[in-house]
Amino acid sequence: MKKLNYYLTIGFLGLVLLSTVGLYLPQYRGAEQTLFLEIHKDGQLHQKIPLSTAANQEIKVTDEMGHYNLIEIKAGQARVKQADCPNQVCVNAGWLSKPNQITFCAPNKLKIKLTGQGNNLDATSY
Amino acid sequence: MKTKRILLIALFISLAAILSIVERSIIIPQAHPGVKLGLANVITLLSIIMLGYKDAFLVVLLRCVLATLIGGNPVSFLFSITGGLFSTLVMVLLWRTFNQHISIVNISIIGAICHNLGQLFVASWLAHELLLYSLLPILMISAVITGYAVGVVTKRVYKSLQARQVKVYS
Repeated sequence: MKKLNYYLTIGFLGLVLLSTVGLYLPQYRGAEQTLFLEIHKDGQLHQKIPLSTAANQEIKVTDEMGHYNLIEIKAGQARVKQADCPNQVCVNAGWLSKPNQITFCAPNKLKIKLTGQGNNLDATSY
Repeated sequence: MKTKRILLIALFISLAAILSIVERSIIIPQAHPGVKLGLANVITLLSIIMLGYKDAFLVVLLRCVLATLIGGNPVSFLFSITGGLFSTLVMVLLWRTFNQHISIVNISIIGAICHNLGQLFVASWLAHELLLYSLLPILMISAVITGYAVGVVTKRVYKSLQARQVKVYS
C-alpha cells in the first residue's frame, strides 16, 4: 500500500509510452489507395466522393434550422472550412488526408470521414 | 459552523463556473482540438477533500449548469456533465478507499483520464462512430500532462488554505 503512488506513476508513464506508440502506428498503414470522402449528416450517409479524382470544390451542407458546414476539397485533401457551430472543433481539426481520419461537428451532427478502398494492410501482406 | 460551510460551497461553485468559462478563451497553440486544461478540476478536487463527496457532486453539477447558462450550448453541457460526473465519481471512490496512501497529484491525473474517457464516450455515441476512439492516444497523453499540472496547483492551494486555518468540513 505504501508504494501505491510509485506504482501509479509507473502506470502513467507506461500509458503515455503506449499512447505515443498508438499515435504513430496508424501512419504506416496503406499509403497508396483510393480515398473516399464520406459526409454523414444526422447519422446518415449524405455524400460519398472519390477524393483523389475529385476537382477542387466547396460543398455546403445546410439543415432545416439553417445551420451550415462548408467543406472544402483541394488537392486530394478535405477539411471543414467554415461552420456556424459555437466551439469550431471541426474547423480547427484542419486538413484530412489519410484513411480513417475523421472529424465531427457535434452541434450540427455532421461527420466527415476518409475511407480507403481495396489495398488494406490485410491485402498487401500476402 | 453551518453558515461557513454553505459559504464555502457557494464560493467553490462560483469559482469553478468562472474557471470553466475563462478556460474557453485559453487556446493552447498547436494543441489538438478538444484538448483542454481542466482548471475547474482544481475546485472539484478541493471540494472532495474539504467538503466530502455529497457536496462535491453538488459543486460539479451546479458548475456545469451555471457555465452552460452563462456561455454554452446543450452539446457542451452534455460533454461537461458526463465527463465531470464520471471523473468525480472515480476520484471520490479513490479518495475514500486510499485516503492516506494516494497523493493529490495522482488522483488528479486519474480524474483527468476519466474526464476524457467520459467525453469520448459521449462523442462516439453522438456520432455513431467507433472510429472516434482513434483520438484515445492523444487524449490520454494530454490527460496525464494537464492532470499533473492541475494536481500540483491543487496541492499548493490546499496547503495554503491549511496554513490559513480554513477548516476541513468533511
